[in-house]
Amino acid sequence: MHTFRKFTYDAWLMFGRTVREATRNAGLAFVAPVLLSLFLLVLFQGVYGGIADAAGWPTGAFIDWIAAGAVFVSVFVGAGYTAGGLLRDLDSGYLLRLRLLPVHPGAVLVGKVAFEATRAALVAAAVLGLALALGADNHAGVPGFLLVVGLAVAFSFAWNGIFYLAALTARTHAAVLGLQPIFMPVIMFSTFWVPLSFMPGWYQAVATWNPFNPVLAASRSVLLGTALWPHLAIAALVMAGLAGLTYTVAVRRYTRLTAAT
Amino acid sequence: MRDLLTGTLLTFARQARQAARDPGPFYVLPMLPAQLMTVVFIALFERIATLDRFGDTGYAEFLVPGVVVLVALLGAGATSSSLAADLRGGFFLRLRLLRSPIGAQLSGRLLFEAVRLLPGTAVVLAVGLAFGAQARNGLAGILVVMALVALLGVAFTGIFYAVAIRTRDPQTPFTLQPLGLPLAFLSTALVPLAVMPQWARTLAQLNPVTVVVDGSREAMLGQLWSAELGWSVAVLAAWTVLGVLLARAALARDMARS
Amino acid sequence: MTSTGSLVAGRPAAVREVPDPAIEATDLVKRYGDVVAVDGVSLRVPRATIFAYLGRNGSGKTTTVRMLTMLSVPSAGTARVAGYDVRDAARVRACIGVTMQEAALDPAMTAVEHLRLVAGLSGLRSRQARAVAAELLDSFGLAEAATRRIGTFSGGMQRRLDIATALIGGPPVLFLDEPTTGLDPQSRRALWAHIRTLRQQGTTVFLTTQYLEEADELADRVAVIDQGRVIAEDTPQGLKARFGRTRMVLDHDGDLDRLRTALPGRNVAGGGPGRSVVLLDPDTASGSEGAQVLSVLEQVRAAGIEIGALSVSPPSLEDAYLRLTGSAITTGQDQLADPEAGL
Repeated sequence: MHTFRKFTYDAWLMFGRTVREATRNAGLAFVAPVLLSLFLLVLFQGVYGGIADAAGWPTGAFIDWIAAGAVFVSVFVGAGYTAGGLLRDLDSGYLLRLRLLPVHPGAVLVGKVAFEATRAALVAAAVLGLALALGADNHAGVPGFLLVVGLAVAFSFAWNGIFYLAALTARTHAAVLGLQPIFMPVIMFSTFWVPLSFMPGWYQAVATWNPFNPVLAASRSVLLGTALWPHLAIAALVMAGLAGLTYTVAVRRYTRLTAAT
Repeated sequence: MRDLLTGTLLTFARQARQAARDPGPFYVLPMLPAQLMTVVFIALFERIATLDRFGDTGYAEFLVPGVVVLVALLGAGATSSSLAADLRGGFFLRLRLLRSPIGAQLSGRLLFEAVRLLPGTAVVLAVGLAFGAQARNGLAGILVVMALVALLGVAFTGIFYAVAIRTRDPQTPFTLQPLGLPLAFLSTALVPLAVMPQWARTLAQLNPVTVVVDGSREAMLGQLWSAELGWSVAVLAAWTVLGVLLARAALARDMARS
Repeated sequence: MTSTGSLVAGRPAAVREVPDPAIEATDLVKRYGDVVAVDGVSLRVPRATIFAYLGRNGSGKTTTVRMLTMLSVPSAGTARVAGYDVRDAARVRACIGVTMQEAALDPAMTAVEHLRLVAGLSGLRSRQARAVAAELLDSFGLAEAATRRIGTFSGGMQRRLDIATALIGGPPVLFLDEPTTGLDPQSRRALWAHIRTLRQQGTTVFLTTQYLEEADELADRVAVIDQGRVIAEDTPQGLKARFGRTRMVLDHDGDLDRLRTALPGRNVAGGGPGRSVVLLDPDTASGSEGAQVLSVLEQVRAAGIEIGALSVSPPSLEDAYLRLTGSAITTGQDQLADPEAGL
C-alpha cells in the first residue's frame, strides 16, 4: 500500500500545501529575511567598512568578509516556520485527518522539510546575489555560488531540526517561537563579523568554540578562493551532527504522535 | 471616568499576571538584541572609533545611550498578543454587553508596556556602563534614559495594537518584530550621522527614533534637561497619540463589522 | 443542499467487494489506566445498512469508533472492517471514510484546495481529483464558498466539508461521529437524505449520535451504549416495542390520587394542572396496546372520572432509552437530545 511512489507523490502534495500557505505569509517567510541581510550588508559596509583598513585584515573590503555570514542570516530569520506549521496541524485536527487517510505520516514531514530547503535556497541565492552586486568578492564563479547556496540549504536543514525537536517535545507554539532568538548569540559570538585574531581575548575565548564558525569558514573559503576542503569537511561534520542529534529524536516523537494509542 | 480608571488598572493587573506566568517574551526577550549588540559592538568595533570618524566621544559611551532604544524597538508590542486573543475569543463582545469602557483595554495594556521594558533597559545600561560607557549626569541621567525608552515602547506599540485588532492574530508581536529593525538601523542609535552613507543619513534625519536617541545621548552625556530632550518628549507624545488613534479606529471598525 | 449527483467517485483499484457483515467487532475493550471506557462491545453491522450507535457523552461511543478506525489500539478484543482485520491499518484506511466529532480541517486552506489535496492523498490522479472535488462541493452546497478560506466558514459549513471529505474515493464503509451536531434542522434533514442515498448505493454507514430522532428516523439498526457496554441492539421499532411505553394523556378534574386508586398497578403520573399521564407496560402479558388502552378507559369510567381530552402516543425511543439506561439522554447541561421535541 505504501509504495515509494505514493510516498513521494504524497510528500509532493504536502510540499505544495506548505508552499501555498507560505505565499500567503510571503512577507515573513521570504521578504523579511532578505531585507534584514541586505540591511546588514549595506549599513555595515558603509559604516564600519573602515575596519578593513586596519593592519592584518584578511580581505579587501569588509563586505568580502561578512557576505558569507549574511547569507546565513537569511536562513536564521524565519527558521522554525514549518515546525510551527506542524503544531498548527496538530491543534486544528488536520494531522488527525491525514492519519485517517492512506498516507504515510512521514510524507508530511518530508514535504515540510523540503519546503524549508527550498526557502533557504531562494533567500540565500537572493542575498548572495545582492552581496555580489554590492561588490563582495567571489573567486569561484557560478559553481562557487551554487556551493554556498548548497551550504545554506544544508545548514537550514540542520538548524530546523532544533525547532522540530522543540515543537514535538513541548508541543506549544511558545517553545518554537521562544527559540528563534537563539541565532543572535550564535552569530554574535562567531567569526561572522571579524576574524578570531581581531577579537579581544575573552571574546575570542568564547567564539573559538562556536560550531557555527566552520560553516562560515567553509562558505568564506569558497568565495575567497582559499583552502576549501578542510573547512568543508568540518562544516559538513558539524551540520550532520546537529541534524543527527535533533532529527533522530524528533522523528521518534513524531512517530509516537501519529501512531495509534 | 472612574470606570476607565478601574478598567485600566484591572487590565494592567491582568497583563502583569500573564507576564508573571510567561516572563520570557515580556521581560527577557526585549533586552537580548540590545544586550548582545552592546557587548559585541563595543568589543569588536571599538577600534574603529579610534580611526577618528566618531568625533571625540568614546565609542562605548556613544553607543550605549543609543543601543538602549533597541529594547523598545525590538521588544515592544507583547501585550498586543492578548488583545488579539481577546477579540478572537469574544471577550470584547462581553465587554460591550457589560458597558465596560473599551478604552481601558488599551490604556491598561499601554501602561504595562511602559513598565515592563524598564528592567531590561536597566540591565542593558548596567552592562554598558561596565563596558566603558559614561553616565555624566549620574543616576538622574540614567533615569531619564529609562523613561525615554519606556515612552518609546508605548509609542511604538500603537501599531501593534492596530494590526492585532485587524488580524486577531495572537502571533502579532512576532510577525511585526522585524519592523523595529529599519527604525533602529536607520537612526543614530548605533552610528553618528556623519559616518553614514548619504542615503542613510537622509532617512535617519526623517526618523523619529533619531530625535529620541539624541535626547537620550544628551541626558546621559551632556545636559540633563536639553532642547533635544524636549523634542524627544514631543515626538514621543505625538507618536503615542497617533498610535492610540490608529488602535481606536481599528477597534471602531472591528465593532462596526461584527 | 442541492440534490445529490453521483457520490461514488474514483474508487481505488485495490478495494475488493465488501463482505457481509461490513463491520464486525468482538468483545472490544479499551482501558485508560483504571478507567474502562469500552467494556466488551460486540457488534455486527450488515452491509449497505445504516447503523446508529446511540448514547450520551462519555458512554464510550467515540472510543469505539476510534478503535474501529485504528486511531486507538484495543486493550482486548478484535474487529474487522470491510473484511480486513483492523490491525491491517493501511488496507482498512483505503476502504473507509471517517469524520470525527471535531471537524479536522486546516483553516488556512480554501475548500477546493483541501478537497483536491485529500483526493490526491487518497490516490486519485490530478484530473480525477479536481473532478471529485468539484462534484462534492456541488453536492454539499459549498460550490459558492469553494475558493474561500475554511477559517471563514460557519460551523455548519465546516461540518459539511468534513463529511464531504470523508466521501472522497467513494469508500464502501463510512464512520460518522455525531455528524449532525450543531447543524440547523434543514441541514440535518438534507444530510439524512444524503446518507440514505449512500446506503442505496451500497455504502455501509456507522454513525454515532445523541439525537434520538436521528436514530429513529435514519437507522436500520440501533445499538444503545451506556457506560462502555451495549445494553440493547435492535431495529428502532424493535427497541420501542420492547422497552418503550405507550403514553396516555388524560385531561380530567385533576384529582391524581383518585385516578391512581382507579388504576391499581398502573404507572400514573401528573402531567400538569388537570392532566395526568398513564404509561402502559410493554409486557405483552398485560395485553396488546389496544386492549390495555380500552381497559384503562373502562376503569376510569367505572370510577366515575370524567375525561376531557385524550391522546395516545406510541412508545418513543426516548422512553425506551430512559428505561434502558435509567436516566434521560440529556442531563441538564448536556447537549440537546432532541432539539425538535415539542415542535
